[in-house]
Parts: sequence; C-alpha cells; structure tokens
Amino acid sequence: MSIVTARRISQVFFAVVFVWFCVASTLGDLPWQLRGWPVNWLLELDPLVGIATLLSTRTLYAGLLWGLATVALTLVLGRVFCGWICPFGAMHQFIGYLGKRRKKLAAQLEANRFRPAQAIKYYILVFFLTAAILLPDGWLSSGSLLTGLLDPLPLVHRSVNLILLPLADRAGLGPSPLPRWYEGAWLIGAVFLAALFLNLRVPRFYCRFVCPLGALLGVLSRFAVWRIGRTEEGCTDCRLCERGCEGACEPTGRIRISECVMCLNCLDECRHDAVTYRTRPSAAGEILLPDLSRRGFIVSAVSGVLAAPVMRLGGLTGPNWNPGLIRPPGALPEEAFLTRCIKCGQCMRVCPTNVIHPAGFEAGLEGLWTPKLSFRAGTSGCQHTCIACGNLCPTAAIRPISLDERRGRNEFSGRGPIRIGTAFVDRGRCLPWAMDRPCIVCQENCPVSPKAIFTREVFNAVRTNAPLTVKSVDRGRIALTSDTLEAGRFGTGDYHALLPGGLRLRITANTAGALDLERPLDGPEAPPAGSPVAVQVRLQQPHVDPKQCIGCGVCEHECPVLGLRAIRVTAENESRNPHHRMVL
Amino acid sequence: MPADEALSRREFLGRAAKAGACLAAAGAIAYATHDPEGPGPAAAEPQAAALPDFSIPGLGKKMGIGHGSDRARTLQLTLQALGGIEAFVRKGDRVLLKVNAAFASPPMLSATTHPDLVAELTRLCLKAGAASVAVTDNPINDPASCFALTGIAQAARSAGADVILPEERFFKPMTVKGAQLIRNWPVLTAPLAGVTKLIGIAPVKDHHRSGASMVMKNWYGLLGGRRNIFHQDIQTIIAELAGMVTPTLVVLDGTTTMIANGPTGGSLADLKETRTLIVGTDQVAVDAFGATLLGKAAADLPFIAKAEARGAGTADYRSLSPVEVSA
Amino acid sequence: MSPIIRPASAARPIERRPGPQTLIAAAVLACLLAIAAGLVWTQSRFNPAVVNFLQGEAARVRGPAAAPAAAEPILPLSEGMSALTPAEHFDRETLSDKIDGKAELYLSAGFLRLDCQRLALAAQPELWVEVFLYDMGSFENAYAVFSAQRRADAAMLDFAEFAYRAENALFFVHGPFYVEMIASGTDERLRASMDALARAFILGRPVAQAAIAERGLFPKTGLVETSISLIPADAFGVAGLDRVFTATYRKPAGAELTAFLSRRSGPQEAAALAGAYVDFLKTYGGEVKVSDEPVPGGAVVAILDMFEVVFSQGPFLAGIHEAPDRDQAVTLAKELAAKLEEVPGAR
Repeated sequence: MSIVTARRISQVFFAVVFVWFCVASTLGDLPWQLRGWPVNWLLELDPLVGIATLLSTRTLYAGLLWGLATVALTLVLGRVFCGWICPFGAMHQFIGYLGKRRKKLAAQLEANRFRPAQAIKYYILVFFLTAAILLPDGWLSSGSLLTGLLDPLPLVHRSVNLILLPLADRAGLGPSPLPRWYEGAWLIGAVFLAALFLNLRVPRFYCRFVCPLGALLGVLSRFAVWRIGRTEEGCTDCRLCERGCEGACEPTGRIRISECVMCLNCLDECRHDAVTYRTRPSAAGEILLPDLSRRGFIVSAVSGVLAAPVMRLGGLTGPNWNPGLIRPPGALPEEAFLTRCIKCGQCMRVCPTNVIHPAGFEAGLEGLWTPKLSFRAGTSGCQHTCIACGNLCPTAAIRPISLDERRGRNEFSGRGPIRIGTAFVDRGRCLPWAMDRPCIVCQENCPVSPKAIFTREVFNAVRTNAPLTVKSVDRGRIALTSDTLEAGRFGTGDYHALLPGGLRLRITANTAGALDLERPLDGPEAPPAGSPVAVQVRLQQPHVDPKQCIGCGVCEHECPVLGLRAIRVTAENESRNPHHRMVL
Repeated sequence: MPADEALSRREFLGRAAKAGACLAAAGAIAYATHDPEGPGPAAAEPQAAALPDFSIPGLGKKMGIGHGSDRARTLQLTLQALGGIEAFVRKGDRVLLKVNAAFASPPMLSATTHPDLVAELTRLCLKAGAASVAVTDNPINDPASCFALTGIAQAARSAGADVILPEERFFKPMTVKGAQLIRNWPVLTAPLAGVTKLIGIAPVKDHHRSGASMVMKNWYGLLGGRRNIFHQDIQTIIAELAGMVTPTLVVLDGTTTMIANGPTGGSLADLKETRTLIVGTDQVAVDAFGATLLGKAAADLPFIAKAEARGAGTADYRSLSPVEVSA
Repeated sequence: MSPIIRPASAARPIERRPGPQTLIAAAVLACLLAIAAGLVWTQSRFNPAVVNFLQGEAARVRGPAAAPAAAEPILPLSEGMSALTPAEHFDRETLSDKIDGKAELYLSAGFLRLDCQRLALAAQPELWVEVFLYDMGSFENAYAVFSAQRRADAAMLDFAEFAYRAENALFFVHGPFYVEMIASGTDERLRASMDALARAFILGRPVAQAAIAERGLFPKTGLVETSISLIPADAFGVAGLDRVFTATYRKPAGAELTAFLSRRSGPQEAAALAGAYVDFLKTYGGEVKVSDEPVPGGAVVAILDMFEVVFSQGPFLAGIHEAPDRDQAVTLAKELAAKLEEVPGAR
C-alpha cells in the first residue's frame, strides 16, 4: 500500500469522525446521539486552542491537554496534522483536486508554486497570540481570544454544525426533525464557502495563506526529526513532484519545511525515487522558518497587544454593557468569557431548544459568533432543567454546571438558581394591559415554582355602541332595551355584567339584545327596568417578580404578540455578573 | 562519504535534541498549568473580612455635646471636655478623616462636611503629634469637583492633610460578617492601609429615604460599585455599615442642620441653626442624640435600633453621661 | 529548471520499493483502528448533560411525579408494587376522554364506569402497569367486550376461565368487570406482577360466576373454542340483533364458517326476528335460495356471493353467517339446529 493511500484513508477517517461528531452532538442516548461520544476531541487536538487559552487564562483546561499530542507529533514528524488529520484541510485538498485535475502540468505547477503571500498566516498567528495575552491585573484590559475566528477546527465545526447540518435537516437527512435556525448564519456560510471556493483559484488556499494553526505547526516543524527532502542523486528536475504539492513548499528547490503539510504527494509522484522522508536534510537545501519581515512582525504584535484594550474602550465589558446580550447559563463574566470562547458553535449545536445563536456585533467585534440567546427563534425558552451547553463547551467559557447549581438546590441553595436575565412586561403591547384582551400565556408557561409571573385581576369596561339599559330580567337573563350586541361575543367566560349596586356576575352567553348570567338573580338583586348595566372584561394583568425570575425566556417565546414580544428578557440581574444586579 | 555522514548525524542529533527539548518544555508547561476542573462558580463568599477596630481600648464610651456657632471653637471646647485630642490621637498616629463630600455643594448648604471642621481637626491631630492626617470619601458626583467645591480639599491641604481621591484600584471586595447586603462588595480599603486612628465627620441632615443622614450613614461613602441598589433596604445597610466600621471618634456637626429636603437640600430654607456639635466614641448614641436636632426621636429612625441590635453601640445616649459645654 | 513535458500516456517506468511504505501505512491504519476503538469505548461513559437529560425524560414519562395517590388504589396491590399515578375515574360521558374512539364499543355494551391507574414496581419505577377496570354492569356485558377484542390465538391462562395474555398485557373478565392490564414493557417481572394483581383482584371479589350457557350450545366438531364471542348489539349491522353469540368453525380443506345463535324471550320472538333478518337481507339484494332448511321456517339466502342461513329453533335465533359454500353451511346449520333442539324448553 502506498503511503499516500494511507494518508487518504486517514483523511477520510478523520473527516468521517468529524462528521459523526457533528451529528452526534444531539442530546440523547441513542447510538447516534451524544451519549459519551467525545465530540470535542478534534477541537482539543488543536494546539492553537490550547496555546491561545494558555496565554489568555494562564491555565490549560481539561481536555485541551490533547493539544500536546499534536505538538509532539509535529515536533517529531512535521505538519502531519495538516495533511492527515485536519478535516478542513481535507476539504480544501479535495476541492483543490477537483479544480486542478483537468489542467495541464504547467498550470498545475503554477498553482503550486510558492507565493510570498504565504507569510500572511504567520502575521495572523502573531496577531492572535499577542491579542490573547492576559496582562497582570490592573494593567490594560487585555486577553481577547480571537483565534476562533480563523482557527480551522472551530471554523469548520461552526460551518458544518450551523450551516450544513441545518440544511440537511430541512432535506430530511439531518439529525433534527425540526428546522433549526441560527441568526447571522449568512456570514458564517459566506466565509465557509469563500474558503472552499478559493481552492479553485489556488489549491489549499486557506491552508497556505490564512490558517493560523498551519502557521503555528509550521513554526513547530523547525526541529522535525524526519522531513521531506531530495536525495543527493537521481533528481532530473522534472518537477513532477510539485504537481501534487499541497503546501506549495517547493520540494525541488530549497524546500520550505514550515510550508510542507506532509501530503507526501511529491514522494508518490517522483519516478526516480529522488524524494524521501528521512532524518537528513534535503540535498537541495532547506528553508526552516518562514521569511517574515521584522516590520511585519512588529506591526502584528503591537496590533495584537493593543487590540483588546482598544476594543474595550467602547465599554461593552464595563458600564456600556449590552442588556440585549443574554449569555447561556454557566457563562463566565464577560471579560473572562472573552478569554475562553473559541466560537466553535458546539453550545449552539447541542442546545435542545435552539435558543443559542451566534452573536453579531452585540458584544463588540470580539464577540462575533460567541453564543447569545434569542427566544423568538427557537422551540421554547432555555430549559431550566438542562445543563447541556456548559457540559459541551471545550474551553469552559460556559462552565460545566450541575443541575443542582442551575436550580440552586442542595449545596447551592444559598446562592439561588442561576439567572441569565430578567423578563420585563411591555405594558404598551401586552394584551391584557393594552388591548383589553384576556391572556395569561406567560404566567401559565413560567416554569419555576413559585412562578415568577403573577397576575393582578382588573375589570375594564367594554365599549359597547351605546350604554346598555335593562328592559326586563327573567331569572338569569337580562333583556336589554337595545339590540346592538354582537351575539355570542361575551360568552367566553371572561366577560361580566356589572349591575347597579355593584353586583358583578359572569356572562355565560349573549344574544344581540340579552345577557345570560352565570346564575339566576334573586328578587332584590334583579335590576329594575331602565337601570344601566355595564359589560366588563376580566383581565389578569401579568407582573414579573424579579426575585423569582431566572430569565429563561419561555414567557417571551410563548407570548402571542409575535412580532416584538410583549414580555421580553434582558440581561439585568444575571447571576454571572454581580454588577448587573437589579434587586438586593 | 563518511565526513558528510558524520556531519549529518551531528546535525540530526542536534535537531532531535532540540525537538526533544521543545517537547519537554511543552510538556512541563502543560503539566504545570493543567486545570481539569475549570473555573468555579463566582467567587464563593470569601471569608468575612473585618476592618480593623480603631476604637481605643479601655477608653469606654464618651460623648460630648458642644453648643456654639463657631465650629472650630466648639470642637476645641468639646474635645477638651472629653480629655482633649490627646486622649484619642497620640504621637506617631496615622489618622484618616472620613468626611462627607458626597455632593459638589458649597459649604453653606450644609450638605457636606464643613471645611472648618476638617481644617481644625487636622490641625489638632497634627498638634497631638500625628505622623500624618488624610482625608477621604467616595463621593456620588465627580470626586475632584466634590472635594474642590465643598472647600474640603483646600481646607485639608492648607492644614496639612492629604486628600485621597478614590480610584478603582483602591476598592477591594469585602464581606461583613453576618451581613445580608455587604457581601463581596467593593469597599474603599486602600486609604485605610497603615491607618491607626479613624475619625468620621458628618453633618446632621434629613434624608428622604432613611429619615436622617448622620455619622453612621457617613460610612456609605466607603462603599463602591453600584451602591445605590442598597437604597432598596436603606435601614439595613446603615446598620451593617455601623457594624462594619468601628471608628476612634465621630464628630456630628449640628451647627447648621438640614431639616428638610435632605440629603441634597439646595435651599437655605432647608436649614436651621441648631448650633450643636456632638463628639463621641459611640456612633449609635451620637446619632440618637442627633435625631433630636431634626425634631425626631431615635424611635423614628429604624436604623438606630438595628445598629444597636448589631452591637454597634447604644441608643440610650443618656447612659453615657454626656458632658455639655457651651462656647 | 525547465520541466520535461511528459506525454500523458507514459507508463510508470520504475517499480517502487513497497516495503517501508506498506509497513508505515499498516502502522497508521493500526493507529486509526485504535482511535476508533477508543472512541467507541468512550461513548459508553455518558456526558453528564445526557445523564441529566435522561433523568428529566424519565420524570416526564412518570407523569406528575410525587403526586402520592392519596386515594385508595383501584385494586389491591400485590407485593412490591406501588401506585405511580393517582387513580382516574370515567363515566359514560367522559370515557372517550381516556380511550377515544374505542369508547363506542363499551358504551354500546352497557358500560357504567372505568377506574384506571398506573402501578409500578417499587424497586424499578420505570417498569409499570396500567390497569383498566371496566364496570360493565353484568357478566354478559363484560364478556361481550372481552370476546369482541380477543385475538383467536391468544394464550389462555389457568387462573381464570375468561382470560388471555398478550406479550405485554393481560385481559380477563370477572363478574361484571372487564379488566385490562397493559405493561410498559415485556420484562418478566412485569408479567409476574400482572399475574399477581389479577389473582389478587379475583380472589378479593368472589362472584357468582354466571356460566354462559350459550357457549355450550355450539356443536363441538370443528369449533374453535376461543372464538366464541358475544356481540352485544347491532350484530351484522342489523338493529335489533342484540346479544348474538358467534363461533368460528374450521372445516376440512381450511374453510372457515361462522355460526351464530341468540336466545330470545320466546319462540315467537325468535321466529319474528328470523323473518326480520331475512327481510333485511332481501332489501340488500339477498335472494332466498332454499326454504325450510335446515328446519321448517328456515331459509338459505344468497347475498353478495355468500350464503346466509337463518332459522329459529324454539327461543333461539340461529344460523350461519357469510358462508362461501352452501352445502357446508347447510350441514353445519343442521348440526346447530340439532343441538338447539336438545335444550330443555326449546321445542
């Protein structure tokens, strides 16, 4: 079996594993659902996630230790991760292959020549790493984890989970029987498709020019014990080896070790056994590290160091915090959150009610594609018995909480339940407040006990065309002098007749000229002919109890005022930030 | 070619060693920083910390009531009646004066501590041999303009005291033992570092929410963060503040009392010349007497009973046998 | 360096050395297999979110949890069982709330009241049984609904005459009660529990078991015992044909016949009803082929490619229903008539 076949099998293997993980990120115990599948494994293998979070949090969280395996692999063997493991790389390679396979040799060689722009990814890496550095307390506000924007593993997870899987769902082929929605998906899709389509211009475009992980692994390849190279004899300069060169590393000339992605196509193509993978350096010479200009390096580094402090001048992590930004339960306070979130979209993918969405710029530039909750596009609110998102987050930007902590029970009963916000009734839009229409959907659906929404009963006069006057009373039926009522309108159980003397009885039915009451009227109760009777509607007007409200959003989701909901959750009183406390 | 091979072997070994060293370094860093549990829930209640007790042990409860219109003079006389400033401040003491500079209000509106008192007390402390005197508060409005417009900054500096304007890094979260409200709340602790004597100076004011603002409420100026949330339970917060701070001495200035529209006042019509100054070691007793200047009884101010219940002092000021002097 | 342009059809001139590459390839594949094995092993250790999710599901299935059935359980509980949900009660008005369209069957059979409740194994609350106690008012009514729903090949039971079992259910008649027990699964423990509950119920309520005389009136030859059913009303779509017993017969060559009989108040009623039924068949295109078969007054009616034999014998209305073969039908009818003739008072 040729080694290139093994590489292809490996790429397919990891691509299948990746897609399986994406599908399996569904809560449940069926074989194809989450169970114990380590769906974050590929993200954990990504050393850029580990190193960047190490810089921004000074710790290496749990499973990110796997990144050490990749580092070890790269230090010894070179960028095998890029050529054999990375599913995004495999996609690029495949599309690049489709794009160039009918081309003539000359065109293929031109596609794979080294371009100086391949240095750009190193500047991107420097920028990301310096932006992530957390300075000591009291210095500038620092530590912004931006790697997730372009790091291939979070990017491909985001793209498959939030773009491809929902499309498959709608075709009936995906894991979710209901369509799933993701705000702002257009941008994620555009970036993904752009990256893929650019392979038609230059193969592995993303890997060569953009990928900061590739840049990192390229730097780590410097001391690789085994490397690709030319033998001393046998090479006829036919340059066939470059026909399939994925990294554009110029294996015929001085091979650029940091660009070589270990695709081994050169080794496979060579008719003369002149390309080897060995411990001795290439006979034609090597370029170990990328050629970066000092100026470029400094620009990237300084920009990175200044990135977080400058972005935070806007105050979004301080007094100008965005109340519309509701983070998932268990999310860290905002500054700490932004040092950990890699924007991988796992939380959005697993959320059983589809309320976690990628943010736009609500949390600033650094908040792009971080999770925020939207209760309109989803199947319900944030279930207060669910702990899925935190238990899936690979970097603990959302902490893995227990149900007891979420509900504030047992050892957490001193703290109370985790709140993600508070609901506010919009009295100008709420049906019983503004439109004389009975409705208590929000109160009925409030899941906490005691309920965080309580109602106060009011009776409002119903406008009738003209004041109503009694003509006669027969037991429970009041006949009116006019014939102008809408028959049947008042029989819903919400309408009451207010009789002179203050007696108020529920109307069970009505015709155009008569009202049927819930019970017959005793002699003295019956209003005399000519006396006025008023129809009132009984309304239960909702109020929110901020001490009970956990901000779960079920009320907002269920509110029948479907456009701008008449009860909406905003982030006041969220547990994660004591500065946003609204009540004692 | 043997030479070539020897060269390449050396090169290979060198590279392998470097790769190994990098790996070892990476492994060491990973091991040292590995955090399997991740961040825990928001800082679990820290140990209830306490501010130092600035009262003078063995001195007992003392209270002096001075009558007069000249604040400096009345202060001198009242202190003398209690044994003089030397009874409270010794040589080498570092004194902190906690004033009320909450608003950028001119002294004549009596919404803030009068600069004459600041100057006089500073002078007296330095005369008693204090190593340093500082003046601080966390105002509601902009600190620099508050300290300037109230005249306190000028008075302090000309008398030889430092003015400490609050900065974010001067606050540390604190939990007061047994408190419901002051839990993990930022408190202005930096100016207290190294301080040996703490004196609170406050005017007598009516207060819309709490009924009165006197020496116990004065400690509100040590709170940071969005402290106006505590207005939802103002009586309890004042009592907890009294439990948090045990000063050496408090000076309650009732020379011109704001009897209406407190705490900001704004009109001279809100003021009444009550010409009384109270100096004491028991802040609850001092406030209880101060209430009378507002025409109220201690029973009208729930925070007094709450503070007494917390053990911050006694509301029965008569039991202290206060000495009265007149200027 | 100018590339040498190769013609596309050039064959690979040099054989590669397969050894080292194959070895490494094999090693890589072995690693991939190991990874796959590791993944499969890891998936059995559930993510805490999944554990929590499953507990939530179980609570939902259990229904309003911790609602202690303060009221008495609807039947004596056997050992190890406890009430899972409170008892529910339905009358003629509300029966369809519980069993929807099936209510019609019971209502037409004289249904009075339904008590139902879920009982669970105390040790394993996810194993539960829902018990339906239908009070049909009389044994006959209970037998009617029992026989109407029974599958002919169901397994019989030893502790009750009119009882049978399905994989996860138990059905029986006792006095005026028709009892159904439906389990949440096919676990052996559930089966044992249902048996125990059924026995406890039967022993706890001694009733004078009315033997159904009519069952013994069917000729035995070829009779499928378990097929004897009672149609309480509107048998064969005919209003007025109530309390009709039917039985299936297996004849040689696989043919099946259905015989029916119904005890009426007297010979006049039986004869009149027989005549009415024949008239009914005639209005739907039936043609009387043979008269006075199997007995005087009887008729063989051909209708829709089938044969209906209708006669009365004493107080009994009887016959053969929808028989494909006329001769077989007449033969069986004669046997049936003979048996009915033997009944005291049948003449």
